[in-house]
Amino acid sequence: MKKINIITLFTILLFSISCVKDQEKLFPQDPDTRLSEVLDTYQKELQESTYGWIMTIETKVGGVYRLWIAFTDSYSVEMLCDMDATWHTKAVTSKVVSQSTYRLRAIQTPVLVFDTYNYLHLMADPQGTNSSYGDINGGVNGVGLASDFEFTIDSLKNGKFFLTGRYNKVKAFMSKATMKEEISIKQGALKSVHTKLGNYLADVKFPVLDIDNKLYDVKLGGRSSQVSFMNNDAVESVSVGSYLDLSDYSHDNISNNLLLIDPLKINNLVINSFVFDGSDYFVQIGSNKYYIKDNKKPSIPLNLGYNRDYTQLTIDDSRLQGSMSESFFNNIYLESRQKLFTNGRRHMQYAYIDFIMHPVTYQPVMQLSIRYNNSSGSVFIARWRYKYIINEDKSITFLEREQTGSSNERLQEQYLKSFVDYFCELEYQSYSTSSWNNTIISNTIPKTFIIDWVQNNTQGSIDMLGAFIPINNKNNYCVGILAK
Amino acid sequence: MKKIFILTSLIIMLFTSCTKEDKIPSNTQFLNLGGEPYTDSQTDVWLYDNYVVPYNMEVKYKWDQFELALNRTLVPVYESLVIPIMKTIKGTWIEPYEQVAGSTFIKKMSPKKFILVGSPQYNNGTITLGEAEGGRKIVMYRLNWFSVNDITLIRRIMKTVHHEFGHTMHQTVMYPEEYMYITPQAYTSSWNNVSDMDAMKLGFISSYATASPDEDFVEMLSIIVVYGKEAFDNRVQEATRIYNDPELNGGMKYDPGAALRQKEAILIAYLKQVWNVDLYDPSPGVKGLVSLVQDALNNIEEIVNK
Repeated sequence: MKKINIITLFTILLFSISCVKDQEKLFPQDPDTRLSEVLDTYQKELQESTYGWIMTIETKVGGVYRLWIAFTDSYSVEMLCDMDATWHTKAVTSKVVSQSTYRLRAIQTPVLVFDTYNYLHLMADPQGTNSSYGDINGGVNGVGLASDFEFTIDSLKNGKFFLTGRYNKVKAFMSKATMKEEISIKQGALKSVHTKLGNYLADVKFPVLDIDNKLYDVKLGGRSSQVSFMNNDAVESVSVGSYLDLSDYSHDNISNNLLLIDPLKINNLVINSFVFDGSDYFVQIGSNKYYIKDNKKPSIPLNLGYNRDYTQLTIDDSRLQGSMSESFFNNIYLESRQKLFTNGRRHMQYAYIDFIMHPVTYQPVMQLSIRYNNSSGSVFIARWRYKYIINEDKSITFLEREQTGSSNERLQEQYLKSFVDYFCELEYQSYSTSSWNNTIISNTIPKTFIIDWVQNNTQGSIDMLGAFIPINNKNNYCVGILAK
Repeated sequence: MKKIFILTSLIIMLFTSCTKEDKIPSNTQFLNLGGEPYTDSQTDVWLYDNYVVPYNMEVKYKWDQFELALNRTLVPVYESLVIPIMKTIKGTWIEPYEQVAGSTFIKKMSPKKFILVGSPQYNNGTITLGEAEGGRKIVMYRLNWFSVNDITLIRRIMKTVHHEFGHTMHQTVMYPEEYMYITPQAYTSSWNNVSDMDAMKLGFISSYATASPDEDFVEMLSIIVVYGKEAFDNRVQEATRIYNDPELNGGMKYDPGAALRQKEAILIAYLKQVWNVDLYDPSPGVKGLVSLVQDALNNIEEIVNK
């Protein structure tokens, strides 16, 4: 009994003295004070940049956009942006400075909010495309370009703000503009760097990098860039957000350095930026400089066929001047046109090839359509379908040919025969002008082609061109304008 | 003895146990306690003078995500449009009510918060243009489209305002129950599948009115007020014409025109008896609510540029 009493007493005494009354604070000040201090620092930093800030923001849908932002007092900002969008006062959004408001808020963390509409909101506006109001950013309605105008300030490092959008979680950063940059930006440089790159790309249509005898197609863009290459017979592409450097901008230069949000990694190659040396772009890998050259056509194989990158080829002499092969143009195309003309002055306008699903057999087929008009101007289309196989070496062989059932091809085939036979030749035991089913075929001569890109030599044309190149007569190739 | 011992021990424990002193630090600073600091812009000054002081209404045009749906992409309104929009609302909603019901009416009854949003709110296939929460808060969308020359759009915006205000009125004093029994069968939760023509044939002023008696009541009020008596009369006549035409009738059980007239009569009586508001001109030369709103809409440019 006594023993229990002693234990109880001891325990109670232990409880009484156990409490440690000192509190050591992890931080010297409470969270509100600390947050308030941080906001003050940020506020001061934002306003202290004499020439404003350049914000680089990578939207989720439309790539990188850049804005010039000047924080004029604790609540007001001025902006310019690198596109000309629909704006209610019809201001040129890359040249006319627009005023709005911002604030630094403490929403658990420091937050930068642009709280009245300005150019930054153009990217976030959910009215992507609207017929009655105008296209604001070309994005999807309800989403826009999936951008932000409320940002958590992640850090301020070396005078650079790193931000994360609160709604779409887009990444952005702001760096101080120099005096030179502010001057050129106010003259519209944010947008004219894009125009300059566009002009450069009009001259260099198919930029490629040749690195150690391997070709890489490079799609240079002021919002995102892509490198495509062959990796064991398959095309691989790597994309990254990109933007044009303004630090060495001048009115006269041809283009500017293209900077990347993240380095482009291709196997063991790492591209950090595309540097412009005054006339050409190059990449620096290790100690080597690799220049971008115009390959005149893509280096990756043309992916034309059923359900492929391209499914249509339009053969139209009026849009292909200088690009068609002389042999095909004279012996097939022109001959067909002249012969058809003898049949009541019918005029062949153009032809097109589609890779489609056969409506009966559900096999992919190639369909040749020849469009013509009669002397009174009515338009007709004659169509033939070709069954094909893809050979091991990726060449294509057209095995059989059939008419599609209208009287157009039944009646005009005799005039257009050289064109129709070009892909697969038929000889008839008897030909019926009333029904294809009554026609008896005596001989079929399949033909094999290589499908490849062709250089576009047509002046002023930016179309992508592809061709069927007969394996046994490569000069007699058939060129067309590619479409998806 | 044992009990006393334990009791004594407990008392000792009570007195000597933990006495932590947790003072509130004297220098604590609660961020933005009492609101965020702001320098008033011209817009803020105008809103303060025209909405806060006379009506105690807050107009929020600056972005505040917490006033809105958290899962929708929305953008703020152009600041330059705030004053024209609020002048329009004042001229075509507040002032007509003040004239017919006295200056204190709006002060007592009005919603206390207007939220202005620049873009529409996109839903699955539809867009939202206006919303009200319990008669205290009205959210208006797609205001970046506002143009003083676009009277169609202005009518749409004002219909929303009058509609939501109608809810405030009947939630304060309910309209007579008999209103619910004029077209009781036709109310449906899938109102969005009811075409405007079908709604008319059932005796409704709009498709949305078929949603519930409450919506019906405020649709009657807002559409008559914003689109005028003539437009309403035309709808009534058209409804009756269809009913009387055996080819068009198609098994209608009652005259929808008469139903609309019954609803109108209850609305007129309700407004007069409960709020002393004349919907139509009470006597020649004295203007009722509809005429005042119509006058204001017809002179909207003058009101906005004033």
